[in-house]
Amino acid sequence: MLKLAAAAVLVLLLFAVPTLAAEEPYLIHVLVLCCLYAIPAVGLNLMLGYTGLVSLGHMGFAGIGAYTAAVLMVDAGLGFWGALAAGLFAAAAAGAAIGAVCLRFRSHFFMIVTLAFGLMLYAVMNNWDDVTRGAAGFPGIPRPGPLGPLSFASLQNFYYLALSAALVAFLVQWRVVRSDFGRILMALRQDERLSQSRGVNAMFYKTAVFALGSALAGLGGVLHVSFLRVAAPPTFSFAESINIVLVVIVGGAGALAGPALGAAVYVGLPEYLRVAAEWRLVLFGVLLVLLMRFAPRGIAGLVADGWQRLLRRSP
Amino acid sequence: MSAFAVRGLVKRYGGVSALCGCSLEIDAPGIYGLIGPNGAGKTTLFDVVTGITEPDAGSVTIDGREVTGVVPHRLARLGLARTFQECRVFPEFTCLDNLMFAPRVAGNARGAHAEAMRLLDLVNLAHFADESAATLSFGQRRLLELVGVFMLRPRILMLDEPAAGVNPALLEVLSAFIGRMYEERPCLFLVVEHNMEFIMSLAREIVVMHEGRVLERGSPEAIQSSPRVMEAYLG
Repeated sequence: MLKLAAAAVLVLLLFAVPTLAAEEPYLIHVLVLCCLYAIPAVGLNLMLGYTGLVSLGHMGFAGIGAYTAAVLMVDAGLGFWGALAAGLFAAAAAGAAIGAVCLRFRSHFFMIVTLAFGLMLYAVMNNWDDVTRGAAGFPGIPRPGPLGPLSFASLQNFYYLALSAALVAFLVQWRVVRSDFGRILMALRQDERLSQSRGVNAMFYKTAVFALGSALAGLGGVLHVSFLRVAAPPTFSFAESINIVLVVIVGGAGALAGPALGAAVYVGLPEYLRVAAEWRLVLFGVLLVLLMRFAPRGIAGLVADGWQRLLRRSP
Repeated sequence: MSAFAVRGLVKRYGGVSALCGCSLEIDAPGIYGLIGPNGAGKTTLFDVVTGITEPDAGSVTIDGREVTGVVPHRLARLGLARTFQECRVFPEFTCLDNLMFAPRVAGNARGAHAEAMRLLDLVNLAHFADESAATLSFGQRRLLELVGVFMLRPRILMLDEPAAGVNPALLEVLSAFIGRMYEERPCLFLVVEHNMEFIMSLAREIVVMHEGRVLERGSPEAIQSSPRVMEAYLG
């Protein structure tokens, strides 16, 4: 109950940021970026954190969603919302199809195969000039069309959209984790063979969560290119796939709030504090080692432990 | 029609034949002990029957239905339940959630709660219902795993060394529990075991495996005095 209230206050605060800090458009820009990373991170958290599937090609699926929507909007003249739905569907379908192949492998073999597919998807985005416009990027992607009286042309309103989308992603995650479906995912992470012997069709559930995770990646991808007004392959590169893995792990894999905390610390903080680009990697290398050593459950784990200690101290 | 039958099972690993024409038919329900010296093929037989590995030749049938090579989750739905030699539980789930897992997967969790609590109580784990399984001792984990398979309402139970690593006090609980469950639902229990005292007092019939085949079967008394079995064990 207390947790729910805290989450509600936090969400209200986040929605109030544009009014509270009206003279700081850069802060809002950074918060939008956080949302754009948190959304695919939620998808990966369901796969990596809850099911134990470490995918190293996650942003490739965000790219499938993004480029599908881009082509439909720019070349086919479809509206944003239709293109968003199509992008989500394309990412989910690709996730199910490619997932069905990757999931024939386990543990580090699975990781390598997802890495290979991520690189392949990147190569397609980078080289299929006729459709994706290749390495030069895909320009002219429109911001979302107005929804009733609400237009998303301004930074402030786009922030509301990105925040709402992130909220939807987190609600989906919450629903899944509390369902029997989510319980089966967690069981698969703990012991796949035992789960199977108790009647779980492991391949079906793992493919399903791969598709769901990819759909969420697609949602993030479509919003990302709509925000930047251009789709470029580096947004969906191998480095970005690694970044999203780090967002999940730094935030706390298998924790509901993990992707939000990870995005805030891993994407938001360095961007806002403008740490020089090269030093950022060194700094995060050190931070990651420290985190692995002292907080293997990520920031969410640290927060949970602190909370427990606080509760024990005040009877 | 046999409740359980394997015919002519062959399984080779490289140049080693773990099973060479292993056949076994069991018609009547009961607790059957499966014993044999190391390397006799007990575990391979288990793996083939429970769908973990496919045999090179031969067949497995349950109630006359061919199930050779059927994957584990489908076997579970057909009523074949198993425990693991290395003892497997979901360490992060509570004891109660460990038991409720199978009913949840099958989509009939609603009525299962009372049964889960009753079974936990039978093995003195009721007060651990809301504790995570990781907090249990090894022997208690064995009990939890064993209790868990009954939530599947199985028709055939395959228990892989249920007594291994269990201390004498818990062993009595375990033995009593298996006996009690057999009285409640007389189905087919196939128990691989190295603890002779345990299995001889529990089983009504003993099947001895040796060099990838069934060497002999009979009552515990007959097996204990069989010269062939003695020779297989002592070489």
